Amino acid sequence: MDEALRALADRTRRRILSMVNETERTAGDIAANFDISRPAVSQHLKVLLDSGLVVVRADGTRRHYRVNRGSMLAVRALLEEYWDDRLARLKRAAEAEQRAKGA
Amino acid sequence: MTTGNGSIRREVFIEAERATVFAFFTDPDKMSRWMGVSHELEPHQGGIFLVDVHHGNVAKGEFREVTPNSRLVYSWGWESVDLGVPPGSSLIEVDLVPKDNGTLLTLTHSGLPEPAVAPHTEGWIHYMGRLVIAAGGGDPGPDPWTQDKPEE
Repeated sequence: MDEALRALADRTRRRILSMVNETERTAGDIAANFDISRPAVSQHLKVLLDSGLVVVRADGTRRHYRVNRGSMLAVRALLEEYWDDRLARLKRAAEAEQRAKGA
Repeated sequence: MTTGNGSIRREVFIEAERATVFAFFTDPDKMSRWMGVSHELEPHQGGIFLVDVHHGNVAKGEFREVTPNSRLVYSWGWESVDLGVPPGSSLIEVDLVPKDNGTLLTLTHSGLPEPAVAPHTEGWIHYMGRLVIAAGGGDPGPDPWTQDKPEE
């Protein structure tokens, strides 16, 4: 997940994610939308692939990139876990406080 | 300006009076015992809700509704972390209802995108922003998020 966060902490990569969220695109399609060089786009795509945020499908010599929806669900699960963890802490703290008041 | 219609809802039973539980959302010292390291809380309508969650990652919003010992609503987003999630872009509702010898707390976090239908990546980023907190218990190492300065 650290890698996913690092991957997201870059505006260009977030734009690339937006582009491949609903439809597959090739590196060439993606590069056509940016002022930066093709190698720079490739480097960003590599970071996104390594983070698991994006998956790639080979079709002959072309590579099609797309958002990884499984990762998206994993992120939602983490958010739920986060609240479960916080609320468990709140429960312990509030019950300790109540016991101290009652004593 | 929420980014989606998804929500997360959680219930927890707490063996404590409602007033005791309520204070954990409005008193900075008490909030620090379950969330965040420093806080600026103005628990009245329009008041500031600001929590330094971890290592300078600041969540910010405002109180929308404050009914003592019963209900709290505040908005929530990221101020210091450039993940494309502005302060106030999602909503947290807390309801406290007396039950048996304690309080039933219901927390709803809404304005979240449904992952399966998120129309664009903003929703993604919204979730990821919260991971900054989820990861708050561990060592984040050098903070990579602060290195990406907003361009607009």
